[in-house]
Amino acid sequence: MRHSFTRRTALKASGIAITLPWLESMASGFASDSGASPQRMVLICSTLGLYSPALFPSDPGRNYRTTEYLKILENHRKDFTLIGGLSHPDQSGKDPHDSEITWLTSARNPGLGGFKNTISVDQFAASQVGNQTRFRSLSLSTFTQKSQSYTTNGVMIPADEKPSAVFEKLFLKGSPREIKKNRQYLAQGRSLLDFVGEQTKALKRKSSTRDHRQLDEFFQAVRKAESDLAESEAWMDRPKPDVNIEKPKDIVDPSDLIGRTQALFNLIPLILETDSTRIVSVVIQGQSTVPKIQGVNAGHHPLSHHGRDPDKIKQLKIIEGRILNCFGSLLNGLGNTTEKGRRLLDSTSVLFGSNLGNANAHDPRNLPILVAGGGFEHGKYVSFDRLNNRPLCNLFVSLLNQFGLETEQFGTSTGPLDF
Amino acid sequence: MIRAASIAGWLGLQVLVPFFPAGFGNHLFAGEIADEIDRELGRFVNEFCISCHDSSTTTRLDFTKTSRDFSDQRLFQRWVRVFDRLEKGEMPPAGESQPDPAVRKKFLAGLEKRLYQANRKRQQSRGRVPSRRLSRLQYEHTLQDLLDIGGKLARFLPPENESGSFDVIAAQQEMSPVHVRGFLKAAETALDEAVQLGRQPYRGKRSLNYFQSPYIQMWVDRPTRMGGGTIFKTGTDVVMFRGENHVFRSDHNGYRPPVAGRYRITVRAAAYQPRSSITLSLKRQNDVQGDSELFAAWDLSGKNYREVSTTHYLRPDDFFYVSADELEPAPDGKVIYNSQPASEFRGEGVSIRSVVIEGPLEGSWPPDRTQALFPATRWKHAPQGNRNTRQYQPLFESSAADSIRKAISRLAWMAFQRELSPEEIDRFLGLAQPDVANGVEFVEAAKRSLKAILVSPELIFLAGDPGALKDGELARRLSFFLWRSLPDSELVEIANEKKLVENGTLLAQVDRMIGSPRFDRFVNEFLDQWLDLDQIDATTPDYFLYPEYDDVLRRAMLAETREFFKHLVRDNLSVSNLVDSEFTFLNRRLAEHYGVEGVVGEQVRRVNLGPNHVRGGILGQASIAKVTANGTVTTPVRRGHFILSNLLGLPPDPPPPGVGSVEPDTRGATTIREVLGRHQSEESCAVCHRKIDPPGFAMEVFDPVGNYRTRYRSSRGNDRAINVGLRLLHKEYILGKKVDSAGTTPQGDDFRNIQEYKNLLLKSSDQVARNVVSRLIEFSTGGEIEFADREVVESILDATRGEGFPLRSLIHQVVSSRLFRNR
Repeated sequence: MRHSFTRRTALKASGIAITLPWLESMASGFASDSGASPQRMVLICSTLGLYSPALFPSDPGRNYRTTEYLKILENHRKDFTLIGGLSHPDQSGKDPHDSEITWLTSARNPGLGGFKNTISVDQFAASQVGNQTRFRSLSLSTFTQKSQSYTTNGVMIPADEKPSAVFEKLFLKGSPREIKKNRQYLAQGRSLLDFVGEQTKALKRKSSTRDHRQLDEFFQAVRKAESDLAESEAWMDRPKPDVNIEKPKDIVDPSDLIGRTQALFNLIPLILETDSTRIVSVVIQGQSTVPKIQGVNAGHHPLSHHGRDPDKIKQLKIIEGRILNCFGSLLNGLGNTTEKGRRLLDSTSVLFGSNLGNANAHDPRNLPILVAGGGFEHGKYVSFDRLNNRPLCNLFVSLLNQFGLETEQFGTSTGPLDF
Repeated sequence: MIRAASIAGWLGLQVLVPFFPAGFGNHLFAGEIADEIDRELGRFVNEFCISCHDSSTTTRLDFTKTSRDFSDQRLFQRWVRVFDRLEKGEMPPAGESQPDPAVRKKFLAGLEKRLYQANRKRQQSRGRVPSRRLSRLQYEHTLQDLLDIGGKLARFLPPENESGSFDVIAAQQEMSPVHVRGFLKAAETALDEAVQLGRQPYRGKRSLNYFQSPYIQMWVDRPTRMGGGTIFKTGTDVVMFRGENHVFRSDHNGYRPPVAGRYRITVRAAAYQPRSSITLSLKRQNDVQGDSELFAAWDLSGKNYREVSTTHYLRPDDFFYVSADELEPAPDGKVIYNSQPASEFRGEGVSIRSVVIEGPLEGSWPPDRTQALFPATRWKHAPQGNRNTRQYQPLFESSAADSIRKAISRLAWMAFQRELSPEEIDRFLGLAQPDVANGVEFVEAAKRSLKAILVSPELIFLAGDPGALKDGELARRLSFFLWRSLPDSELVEIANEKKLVENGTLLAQVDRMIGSPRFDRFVNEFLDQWLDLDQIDATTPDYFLYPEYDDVLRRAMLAETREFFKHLVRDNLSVSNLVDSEFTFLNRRLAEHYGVEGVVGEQVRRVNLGPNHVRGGILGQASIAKVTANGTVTTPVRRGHFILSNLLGLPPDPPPPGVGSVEPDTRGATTIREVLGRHQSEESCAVCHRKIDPPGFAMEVFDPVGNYRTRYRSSRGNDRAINVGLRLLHKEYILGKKVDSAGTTPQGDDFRNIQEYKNLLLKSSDQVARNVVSRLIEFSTGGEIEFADREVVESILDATRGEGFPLRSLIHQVVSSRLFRNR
């Protein structure tokens, strides 16, 4: 599957003799070639929370008494840790669901006057790994292109919501004609961007104003888009990995929440096993439509505002149970895939949680957080102070460290999380 | 009509800038030396501030580290805050030694002059607003107007920064490679839709024949246990008893739009077994893009057939379907599934006689817009391949290169409003030339050059030099303000004749633009962002508690607020109408929702309410009730915050960290007011909440979907079976506790209900006008209100106060102001 990738091929592919910094990382990459499995990171957010009375056990520790929700994951008990008492500080924002956009970033007061988002933890990791993989990261979503991945200057990176498109992007090889066409397209894109870059420079020269922030950013963005295209072109010379499954069919029905979630989760072991990327984020979008689930006759979002109505809580628990079930099957998938004699799960840190601790009150504290795999020591429930939460970013730092980055600080962290 | 033009004193909301001595700004620095002022500032700080705000302070302000270097933006902002807090009397705090009023006044005057001077200097040298890009919506409108196409293009660009301000605010805008790719993708898609050279589609009328469709027949024949049996056929019609997108979708019944374009759809239908007015609707859905849209809704009543039509933009992957809303179940409570055959069912339905589609509505083929794109090119019919391949070949006046040059020149003129030099044209042509040389098909080659125009920074950016805007720049700023797109040819012509800078000409253009249909874009997008109307779908009302809410009602809600505001502008009516008005805009559906009688039909029109009506002003409008509530409950805090921030422009401070939010409880045991009792009883909460909560209390009479209520709906004790289909069978709430909408303003004025509250709020019309003017300035210039801008806002208020701040006059004043006319 792996081909030696020389600087010459890269230069040939890009069509011109350029030396971009990424070429170096390309040459020195492929940790997996040298023996050890590469570390991966999967970050999953279910944006409407998890009903906490059904999730958290009464007492922390290894011998915690299982709960209604944890029972669903009982088979994986040794492979995950439940953490209580984590949150990002200062999350009261303009809209009570704005904590969705800061879940991976920890920027304060989302949506309030002057708010700017910051880089998300997946993109931070992606910016550090270089292009050892075909994609530096993937952002997936069950519905709409809304992701939780943000660039350094706080711009959302659109998510892939169609499993078929992800599959095509990663595994579909295309005919020689299509490849040729694609290559032409990339080349044209680069010449166009080059042209736009020149125009931007000219425009800047023409106007005497000193405030060029946006034009400068545009110029840099154009250059970056250009080098991204060059990178894609270089990767076109490397055949995509062979996989023995059919292209998945997309679920058109927006109310099939579980089907859509499962379809994305099904792809993740495949994505990681083929080393197409090492960083995946998934957002399970809160929907107002009535999900197609036996015993549920109201929308997921309205049910999350259960108003303590027992019937609504009952239905909400059915939905959340099914989502946890999908998570369980993901753990199965990662556990059943082996790489160099090790379970894929052991080299993959999986974070599963939510930006809301109590969706009924839009409370962004005391978040439900599960960490699985990644070589951490699991099998316990860790509970931090519920009145004085630990920063969720401390966990992010631990995840980044586990991922192989010597990061001491991220977002609002005060250190790694001891769990 | 202004009942009291006094300052908003009763609310305890001191106006930000009540104090501008006459002639302020004219002889500003006469006889004054900045150094002398500075020494006085220093003396004042040392005497009254430094004892708390020194290096050992626990506050955020340390005067030992706050120099008076006003050219430093951070320090400047800090001093503005010092000015505001002193000016509002918040500092020094009660209990500390207070400066003599004359001393305070002198200090404020000195500080004001220094801040003003520093701010103006910066504005004059750098420009008030830095260069900025078009927002994603502005870019969509621009592409649509340039290429004469429809379709949604903004979706290719990332959402705007959620900064709580307008999408055009330069300081909040972002730029990234994601945007660059988005601009490219949007431009590419737009060009592909503009160039239609496939087989000439049949453009006449075509029937979507539900009656003879085998697909419909399948659903008629299918037993209920397999999901069928909910429709039936009479001798001529197909009858439905609920909205069924699956059964009536156009693509499965034999019709697909051949190309992207505008289509006229005509439906002939009647109410079936009507007991009340019902709604016939036409909806579009696109499963590839995952979006849907209510095209139109019409009222049906009585037995007569109605023929209605609507024109909309369709893409080949869209489908549409005839649907129905507001259908009551059978009088015996039976649902369609247990009332078989369907023809025996006694509930309300819609009987569809015919559906006719006409289009694409193009005068010629290839369409005019395609031909217009290539001026020196004619198209010869050359049939080949299947219907999707190109069926027309270009015939050039001279050569392919020349044709591309002419196309570049024309599109660039439209996009940049100027002639390109021959060298510039050469540069754009350069992108196509290698392809032309390599024998790449003409259109594909030409598109490369044209795409470069559409993603050119000259189009995407509103950039320029500090100082007065030149005619062309003024035309752009004006049209991106009122039309959210490029200027049209009339405006460009006037600008090119250098006449636009004359104020009379400028205002005449403003009036023309306000009268144009394109002004709807301003109304929709300004209100979407100012009044959060774009949040209307952020939550979905609980199906059981609010069964009356549907797409048709939602549409009427939005239409009310938009038509209302448009009317205020077009008829130049007072800003106080936003607080209370004797009229609003309703159709039959919304009027029923409000309990207003005598409104017939789906047309939204002006309806007189009379004085002191619950529904007068925007606070009585269901759209506002909806965007300030979540799906199940309302909270006075959110609504109070809305009135303070969005209507009055005086946002309260955010809550201190660690404050919990209220957990909604719909079981009916406690009301939200009982839960919020602590806000008043604990002083640390009451400091802010005595301002925030009372307006919200008044709004409690409106439930999350804008019903007027006297009792809360409660879900307690309901054992819900799972019902299928009929909306109103879900009405399973009970009425709980009484709504209490009385309150007391921070000034001690009591109100018993929303009407009395609005009467008190009318005293703040000055502040509402100040807020509207400020928002208009921001929305039109892309720059937030700065310190030196305050005097402009005040002078606009002074000039319009006599007539009660009429809205069109406010727009005129904004456009005439130095803030609009300078960079």
